[in-house]
Amino acid sequence: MKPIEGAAKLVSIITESVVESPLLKEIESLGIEGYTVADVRGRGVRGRRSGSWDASASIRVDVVCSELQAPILAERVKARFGQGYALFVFVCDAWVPG
Amino acid sequence: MPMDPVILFFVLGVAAGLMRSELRLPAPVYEFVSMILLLAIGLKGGIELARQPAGQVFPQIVAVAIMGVSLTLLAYPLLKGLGRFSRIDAAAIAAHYGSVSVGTFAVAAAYLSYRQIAFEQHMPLFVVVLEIPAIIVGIVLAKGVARRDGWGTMLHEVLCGKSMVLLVGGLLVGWAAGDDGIAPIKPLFFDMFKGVLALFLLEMGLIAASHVSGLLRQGLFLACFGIVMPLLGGVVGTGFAWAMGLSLGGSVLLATMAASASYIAAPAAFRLVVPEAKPAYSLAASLGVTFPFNIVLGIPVYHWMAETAQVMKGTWG
Repeated sequence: MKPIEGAAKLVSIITESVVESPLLKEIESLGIEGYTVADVRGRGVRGRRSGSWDASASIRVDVVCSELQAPILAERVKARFGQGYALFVFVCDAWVPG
Repeated sequence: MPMDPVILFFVLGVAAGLMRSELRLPAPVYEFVSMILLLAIGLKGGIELARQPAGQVFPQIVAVAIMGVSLTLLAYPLLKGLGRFSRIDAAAIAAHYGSVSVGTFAVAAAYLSYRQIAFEQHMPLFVVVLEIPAIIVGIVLAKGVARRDGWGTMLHEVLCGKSMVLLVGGLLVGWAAGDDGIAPIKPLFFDMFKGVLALFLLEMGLIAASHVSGLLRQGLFLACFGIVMPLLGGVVGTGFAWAMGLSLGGSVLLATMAASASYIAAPAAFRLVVPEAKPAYSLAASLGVTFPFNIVLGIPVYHWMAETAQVMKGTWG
């Protein structure tokens, strides 16, 4: 696949570390090849996630994709992981130098 | 006899957590420390396994697996009937209590060495065996056998979860290398074991303290369950140890395993396969109540149970 250039979208997904591998598979199934995963900690509607051990560990997956793919990805992730897991997804504008 | 210093580290962690101190073990350090514990326990068991004929251990493995299933089936009706938990939450908590906590096992092993009580060195093998059946039974109770989806994920998570890979890996390495082969890596895994355990317990104290507020919200039943269930488990474990003909130390360890509740393998498997189950319940009970109870009061109680069983065996046998 051709790398993205110019106007794009940044989809940030903050969720529980335990779903990392199914989440990454979901992203790849949309034909998106690149993403960045970071271990994070913070607070949300489900309380504090200290990140200090397995059950409280969270990740943020950043995906830069086309404006077409972004809403599809965001909706799919919400549909699959929104029930039962701590999940927060947001999309913002991005620009990738050519 | 003064309190084992590793327990004091746990108390320090709880105190720091309750005082809202900023103290926390960085996540990679906690990962590293728990890796050393799991590998060290596996290696010790593996070395001993190399000396044992397989035929002798096999019936004991089956007995321990049956124990794991019975503990889950004992806890489930208590939680569902008396505790009025939903089927899914009752199944999840029951699976945590049927499974085993490696941290508690490590403390019990340290307790025995501190008092110079011998135990069967292949006990770590039983930790591996006990970890699996309860999780499978719990998931069946929660979802029913009919639902096919999720089984692959569950088996993968249970069999390839990190605690399983490290324990089984350690066992295999210990078994293949034997006592002499392991000698060069002994300083890291065996000589430093107590120090590593102290750090691990410091963090566990902090984690336990963070679950206290959750426990206050979940109510009295869960707090009582977190103490009564390990005592029941201790009796069941002592009974199985008696039937299996284990030594005094072995009986203390098996009772401790039966009394302990998982907080690594079971939560991970349930989060993935049964996300509807609320981890707040099972973790508040297993980490907020049962883990502290076991390491401070429970292990001496199981020691007493094992001694009583041995005396009764002496009288009747």
